[in-house]
Amino acid sequence: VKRLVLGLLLLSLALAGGLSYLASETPDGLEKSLARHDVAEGESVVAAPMADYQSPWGGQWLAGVSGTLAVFGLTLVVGWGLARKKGAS
Amino acid sequence: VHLPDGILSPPVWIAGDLLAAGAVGVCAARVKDRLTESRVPLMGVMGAFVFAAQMINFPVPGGTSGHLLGGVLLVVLLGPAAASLVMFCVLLVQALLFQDGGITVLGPNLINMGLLATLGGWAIVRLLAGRSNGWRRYLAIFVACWVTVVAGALLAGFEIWLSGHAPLGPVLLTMGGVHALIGIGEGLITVATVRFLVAARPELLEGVS
Repeated sequence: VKRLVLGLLLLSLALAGGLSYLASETPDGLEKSLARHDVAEGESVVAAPMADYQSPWGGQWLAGVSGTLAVFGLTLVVGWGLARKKGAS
Repeated sequence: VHLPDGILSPPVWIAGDLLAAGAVGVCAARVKDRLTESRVPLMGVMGAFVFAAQMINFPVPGGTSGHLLGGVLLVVLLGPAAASLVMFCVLLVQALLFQDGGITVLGPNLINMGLLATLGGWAIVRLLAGRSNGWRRYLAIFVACWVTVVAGALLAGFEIWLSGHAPLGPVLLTMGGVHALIGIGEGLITVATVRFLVAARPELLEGVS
């Protein structure tokens, strides 16, 4: 399974870093519905460092790559944290 | 379907946050009971994959677009509890780093785009396919994708109506109509991905609880 995990991680990085440039720019289903019903998008409560997937240092690919790694890392920490406790008790 | 901050009224998003927090707690307890360490890398990489896939909007007829949600994909490979936690991680990173989905509406977003698929979608797959691994399973996966994407969109529309922003009928009609098409995309991508992964590693689906 190790090779599969590595392969999938590389694939994900490629998707987020490269192919996301091909992503459709048309508004998504929610945005379109909100616009049709004149619902204004609210103000964001937190200021995200890379809002709308634009990173201040390198554009979209860097945002995609760092986000992919952030999710990978966070999920591993959560998973290992929970799985380990079982072994300890 | 990522709802931004400020769209839902406080009672609606607080209720959603509480409900989602409870569900995440139950899932965490279940994962703690059952998850073996050897499955953790798969959890991590599927989270990364779902995040990456959600960045890629595919065009939908009618001047709009949609992207994979991935909840059913996660649940088929990881089981409902682990899949729900992975979805939570994905949405948390999207809200905190990318302002994709508001932080106050994290709970409602997790319910609409995550839990409906990882819990409800799982029930649909089980109900339609049992433990079959053949074409019935893939058909069930497709149905689960479509139903949960549309249901999530309708639920989001319902929450917008509850918050007093739009009349119920029309908002359900637009949300449901657009996402009936997006749901087909979700189903096709999910079935193709599961088929590809199972072909590469047939043992992957074993030990999913």
